[in-house]
Amino acid sequence: MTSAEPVIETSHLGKWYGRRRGIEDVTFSVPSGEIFGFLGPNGAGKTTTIRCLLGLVRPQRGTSRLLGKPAHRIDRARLGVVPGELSMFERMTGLQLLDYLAALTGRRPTERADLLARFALGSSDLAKPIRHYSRGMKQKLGIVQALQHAPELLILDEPAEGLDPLMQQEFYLLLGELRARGRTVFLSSHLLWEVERTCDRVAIIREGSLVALERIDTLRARSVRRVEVHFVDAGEVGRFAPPSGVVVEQAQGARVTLRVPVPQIGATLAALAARRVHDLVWERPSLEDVFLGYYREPPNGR
Amino acid sequence: MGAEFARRLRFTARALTIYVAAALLFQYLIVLVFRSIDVGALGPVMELLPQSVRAVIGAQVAELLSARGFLAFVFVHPVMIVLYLAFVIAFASGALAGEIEERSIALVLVRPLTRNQIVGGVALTLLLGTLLLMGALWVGTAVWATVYGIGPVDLTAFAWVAGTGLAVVWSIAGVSLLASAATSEAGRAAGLGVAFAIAAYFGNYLANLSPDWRWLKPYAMFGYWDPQEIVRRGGGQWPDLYVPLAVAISGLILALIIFNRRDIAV
Repeated sequence: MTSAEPVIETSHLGKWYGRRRGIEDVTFSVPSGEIFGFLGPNGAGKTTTIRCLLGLVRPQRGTSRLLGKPAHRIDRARLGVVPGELSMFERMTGLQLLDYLAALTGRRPTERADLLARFALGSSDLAKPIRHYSRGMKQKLGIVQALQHAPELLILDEPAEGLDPLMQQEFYLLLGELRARGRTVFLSSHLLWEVERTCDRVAIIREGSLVALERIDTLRARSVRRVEVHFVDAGEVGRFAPPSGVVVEQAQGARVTLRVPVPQIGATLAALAARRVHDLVWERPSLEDVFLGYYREPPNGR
Repeated sequence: MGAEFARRLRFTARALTIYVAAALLFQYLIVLVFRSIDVGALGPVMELLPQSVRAVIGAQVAELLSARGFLAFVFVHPVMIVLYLAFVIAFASGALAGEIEERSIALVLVRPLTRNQIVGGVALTLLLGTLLLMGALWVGTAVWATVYGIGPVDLTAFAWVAGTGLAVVWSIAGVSLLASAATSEAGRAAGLGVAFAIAAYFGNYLANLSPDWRWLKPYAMFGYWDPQEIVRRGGGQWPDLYVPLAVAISGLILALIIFNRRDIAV
């Protein structure tokens, strides 16, 4: 693999499970050192794409290459994977599992001690059978097993699922460090905010097909924030003039819900500052909001 | 591959120890029963047994009155057969299909281990487990015969009994492994294994029961295993080994091919 060659490359991937659609015509590439977000609602085809990449299922159409080789011929010791809906060998202890998977990988687990410390997994935790672990602990162990051998490419399917907010924070910090070290990360998620805060580029998949492949800045610029404003009285609502592009979604008494495109955030704040506002709630945009943004565009406008 | 085999072995060790202990205990009880009965008085009773019971005992009902015949019968006693089959079917179905069902196999499949090595690890554990189970029975035969002074017992003939039994059990293990490699649910894989085992056992039973069903004998795996006939002759016949072994190897080869080609959607 040359340095210019993408670390992940798929071309027109298509997979059906009998009559059930998995994915259709999925094409993208991920260069070295990038955190690539793969965003879509549950059932959109994220996991099927990952299965094709890892050679767990054979696509009926298209090709995929990882680290310069077809999926079924890659050196898997160079991969770190957190599978979706993580399931482990419950009778093993945490330490047995890490040792076993390190032995299968055939690489020394050079990063293990650091990862265990970061994710607060102590020796007493590792001595317990995994069946006694909470969901969060299992997810932390899942992250450690994927990263302990310092893989060059990480494929993570909903990796922060089940982690508490502190651990999620630690995980996103870790992703940033991995990018700084030149590792490549493929991060599948159904959470827009997770992808927004960690990724360089994002592909959005819906009903098996890619609907967008953008830099995260572009995605952010296209997305819309929902803002609930509580003015001091209903009169203020009448005096409030929303900037161009901002839509008043709902107005009831002194409360107004606005849909604010990201480029209009500054103008909206300025307009609100001129009025007497009692409270302001900015909601995280949902994936559906982003999709609506895309589907409102004509196809050639994407 | 070493780590994978070690994991399989470690998680089988406890169950296997229980199976071996149960088999030896049952063998011991049967020896006690043999010592407590009046063989001379039992002869006429045996002749009165209905054909349906004689079909379970095997072709050589008269052998049951000798120590060697009685000890040989332990190997094909229904309790023992349930023990062998429980081990191979439960292990084979849980190993591949069960781990696909639980999704835990994903952690192994994304590592530098071929699918052949995964199936190979399961096959090797099955081989070793059944070898241990049957080997323990052979050793048990020698020990109980010596301790209680029953015999004479020809251990070479009993090695044939154990060897032929292994081939038959492996044939069922091979088919169970194939079922496990081809499905994604432990229950379905176990069901297929049980169906084959039942066919293998009752095919032979029907063949022993009535001449009308004799044609089933070559197709029923248990038809290749008649411990009392083996001890009466002082040894076995090679085809009784070849045929079940061919089934076992065919099952393994098909399991390798199917497991390599199939989608594992975990």
